[in-house]
Amino acid sequence: MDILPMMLGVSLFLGALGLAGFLWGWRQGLFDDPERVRYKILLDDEEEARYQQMLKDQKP
Amino acid sequence: MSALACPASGTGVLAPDAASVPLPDSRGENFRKHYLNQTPEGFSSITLLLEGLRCAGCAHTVEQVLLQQKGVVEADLNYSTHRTRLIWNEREISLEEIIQEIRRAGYNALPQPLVLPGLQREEQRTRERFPRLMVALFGAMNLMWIAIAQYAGYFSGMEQRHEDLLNLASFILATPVLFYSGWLFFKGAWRDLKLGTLGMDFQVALSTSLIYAYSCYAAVSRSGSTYFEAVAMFIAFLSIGKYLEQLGTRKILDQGQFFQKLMPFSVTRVSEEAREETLLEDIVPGWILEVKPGERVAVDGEVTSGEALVDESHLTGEPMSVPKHPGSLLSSGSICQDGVLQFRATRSAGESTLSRIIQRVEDALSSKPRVRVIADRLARYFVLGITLIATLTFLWIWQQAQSLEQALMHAMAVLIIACPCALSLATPIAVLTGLASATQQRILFRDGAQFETLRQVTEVVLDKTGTITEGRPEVTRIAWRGPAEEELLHALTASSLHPVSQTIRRYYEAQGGALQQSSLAHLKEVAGRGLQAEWKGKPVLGGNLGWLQTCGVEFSSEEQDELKAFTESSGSLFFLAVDGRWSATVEIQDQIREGSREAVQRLKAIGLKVHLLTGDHARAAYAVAESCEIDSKRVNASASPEDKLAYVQHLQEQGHKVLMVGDGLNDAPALALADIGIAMGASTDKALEISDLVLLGNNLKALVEALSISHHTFGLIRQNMVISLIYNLVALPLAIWGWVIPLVAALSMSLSSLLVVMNSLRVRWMLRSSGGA
Repeated sequence: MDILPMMLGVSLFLGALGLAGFLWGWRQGLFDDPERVRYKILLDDEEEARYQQMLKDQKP
Repeated sequence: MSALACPASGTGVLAPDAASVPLPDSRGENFRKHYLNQTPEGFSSITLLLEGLRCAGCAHTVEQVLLQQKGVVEADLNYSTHRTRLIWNEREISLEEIIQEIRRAGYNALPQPLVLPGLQREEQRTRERFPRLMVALFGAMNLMWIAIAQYAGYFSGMEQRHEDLLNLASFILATPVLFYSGWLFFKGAWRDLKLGTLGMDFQVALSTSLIYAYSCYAAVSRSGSTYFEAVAMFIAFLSIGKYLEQLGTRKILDQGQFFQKLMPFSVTRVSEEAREETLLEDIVPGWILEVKPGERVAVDGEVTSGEALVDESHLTGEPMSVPKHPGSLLSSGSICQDGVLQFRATRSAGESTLSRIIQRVEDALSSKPRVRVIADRLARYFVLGITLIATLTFLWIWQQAQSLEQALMHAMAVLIIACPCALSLATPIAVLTGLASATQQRILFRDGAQFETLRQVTEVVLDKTGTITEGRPEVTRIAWRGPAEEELLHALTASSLHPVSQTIRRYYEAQGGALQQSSLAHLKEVAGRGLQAEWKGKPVLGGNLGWLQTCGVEFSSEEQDELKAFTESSGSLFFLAVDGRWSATVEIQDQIREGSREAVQRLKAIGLKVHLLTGDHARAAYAVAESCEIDSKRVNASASPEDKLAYVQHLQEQGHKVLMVGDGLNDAPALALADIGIAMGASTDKALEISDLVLLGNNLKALVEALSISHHTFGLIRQNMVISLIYNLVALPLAIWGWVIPLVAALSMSLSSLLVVMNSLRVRWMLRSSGGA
């Protein structure tokens, strides 16, 4: 019968994780540009990779 | 507009001219101060607005162009707003080079000044509140299902260990809600206490912490039930309300920012030696500046040379462009459409029309309208009263039932169920929503206080020139008695500075008439009377009827009759005589503005008395009154500024609430005295300064709109008060007698606040359905 505390704990933990994830995304600006999301799929990954590479190269 | 193949070609469609506009020095001190930020890593950052983006493909192209530049660290282009926050290393590449690259791709980038202080503050506030709201919602939702389990257990019985478990879970969920999400209420309560007042925050903080403390006690001592869910519900619902209020504020500020977006970034200064690009902030009144096709006018000024059509729709909402020629006034933010204009700056950037509009929007937000002040004061008494009632209930039940727990329960129910939200929450939201709708309609309120006064107005006093009429005389008719000698009339009036001559000259210029000055000889102007000259060997005269008669022009009896028909018209007349014979008559009238007639009809339809007040002569005044169907008893012509003032005063002495609309310096004293003074957008500074409302659209139709907005807004505020009063009258006794448990109290209080908040948000709906057409 100790399933109850476990279930409660796990579900609250998962919920809190979701909340934290959502707030993290919000802080990162994931929801700032609804337009871009629609076109994201059309952008090439290579360019994305080059972009990341460029970020690494740009240490002042 | 033609379909441009930008997605396929991947190149922009910007006019080639834009690329030739030089950029000011990004190393200049003033530029750095207004546009640049430094990141902690030592990079520079700036916000750029991209022009010429037609689709996501364009946006992607620009983004790639930016990212391929050596030295660019970050360029996140927002596809929705077309802005990018560019972070780059200035040691590797200059801003000028980056913008050149963007232009090479066929787009343009405009550096954006650092955001409005007001908007920055609000964004900061949203960033602070949003996570708190989310935590509150999360906590409240989860607490609800735990509460359902607890109620089930309450009726069917539950083992103590399960009850302990549920209490523990509730405690874990409610704690962050109270101390993290509810922190703003505690902060507000503390601020109120320090100021010696009581507000809604105090009531919220007191009741939630009481319930929380009691629930903790009940859980640990295993006596009675816990009410953690009430704490969370209470805070979650109030946070929603506060958040909605904030969205309203942001909406208005965004409108203000819309105006700021219109500010150009750099200007071409023309001096004798050279032309140079300068920053908006550096402009000094008196400088000669130049605008090219497609560019925006940076500061208010007066055209010195050139002719062009100018789009002023940002102020007027009118899609039609306005022709500008030397002597015309330009207001900042307008777009020059064709031709190049040079103009003398009459104001610096900070004082120009656009800046003043932005300032006004910010002022309206920061000032607290009277209705809010009153609402806040009422809320204070309300909270004080409720705290008192709760204490009395507590003492009374304790004494009656000898049960501390029961007494506490009743007192808490009272504290929770009583709701000042109609005052503290719904009123500001209603005012904000009303202000936002007004700003959208290009009506600027000084603050929200006018909502109340506008509703009480019974008399509307309208100025004629510039308010009902265009304020700009136009030639309405040229009647030739013999052959039409257009060139003669044009040449004769071209040299005169008299307003009537100027109007005729403008008329010909608008028609594109070319002038041959050589045809006139011995041209002479007698100030205030008329003109005389020699044309093809014959003497010619131009001026009013008196001038012609003085110079010996005679009229036959047949001509006398014709004259009579002319002199009965309401406009000004200009006569031309050639060789002693009357040859032409020009009629000049100030046209009634489109929409004025309809506006007067609608004002009358809602039961207002419309008055006409003008410095113009009676004939013109009655003609306008007649065509707008203003009662001739309410027309006051040939009025000096003092007469206008006295007229308004007289109406007020009769106990009327007077609304006055005007535009000129001569209206200013009367505008100031009237209960509501409204200035047209194109008004003189003085009129703008003292008015309570500005109709940017220069159209009386907006006045009807303003009345309707304030009517709806104030109506809703009153409705909310009534709803809230009834609710509190019913709910309070129930709570005192202990017929509601804290959870039900929290639910009903939350629902009642949501009800009034939703009601407030209806303003926009109501306006949309009541004919925004």
